Amino acid sequence: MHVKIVTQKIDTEKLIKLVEADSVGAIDVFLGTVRNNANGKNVLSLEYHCYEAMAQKKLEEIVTQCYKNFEVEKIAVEHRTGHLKIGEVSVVIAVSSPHRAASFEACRFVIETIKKSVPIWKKEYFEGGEIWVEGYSPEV
Amino acid sequence: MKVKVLFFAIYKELAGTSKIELEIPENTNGNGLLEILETKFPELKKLRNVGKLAVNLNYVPLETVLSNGDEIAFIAPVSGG
Repeated sequence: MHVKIVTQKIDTEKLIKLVEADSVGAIDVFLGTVRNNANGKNVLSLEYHCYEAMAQKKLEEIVTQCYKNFEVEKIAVEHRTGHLKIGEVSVVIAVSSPHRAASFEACRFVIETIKKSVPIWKKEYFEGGEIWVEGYSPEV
Repeated sequence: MKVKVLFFAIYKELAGTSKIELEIPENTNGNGLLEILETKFPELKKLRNVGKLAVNLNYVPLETVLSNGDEIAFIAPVSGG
C-alpha cells in the first residue's frame, strides 16, 4: 500500500510503477483535476487544506477496506494539498488486479470514499470572491 | 484536564487560529467542548450543527466524553478529491 498526502505535483507514472506486478492483468488509474467552473461560476483556482494525520489514517483505512472488498493486487494513492491551478491534478489513484473489473470497482470505491470521509477541504477562488466548498458530512 | 483542539478550513478561519490547548472540566463531552469554544470564539456559532467530532483521528459521536490529552477537531463537511 502506498498512501501519501503531498504538496508538490503528483508523479502519476511513479504511482503506476508502484502497482505493477507480473500477476496483474489490469491497472486502473483515476486522476482528479481542477475544473474551471462550479455552480455557474468561473473558478480561477482551488486551495486544498487537510488535517494531515487524520487524512493519512483515513486513506489507509479506505485502502485496507479495498483489499478486503475487491480482488486487487496493489493500490497507490496520493492527494495533493495547497493552491492548485485549473487543470492541475489533485488526486491520483492507481489500482492493479488480476482482472479488470476489480480495478475499476476499487478505484471508484477509493475516490467516492475520499469525497465522503477524508478530512480534506477545498476553497474555490472565483472572479469576485472565494468560498469553502461544502461537500459531504462524514458519517459517525 | 487538558485537551488540544485543532482548527481546519472554515473552522480555522472563523476561530482565527489553528490550534489551542484548553483546560476543561472532567466529563466534558463534545457538545460541552463546543459550547466552551463558542464562548471563546463567538464566530464559531455560525457552524453550529455543521461539524462532526474527531477525537484522536477518529470520528466519534458528539456525546463522547473527552479525556485528558485528547486531540480534538471539528470536521466541516469534507470536499476532497
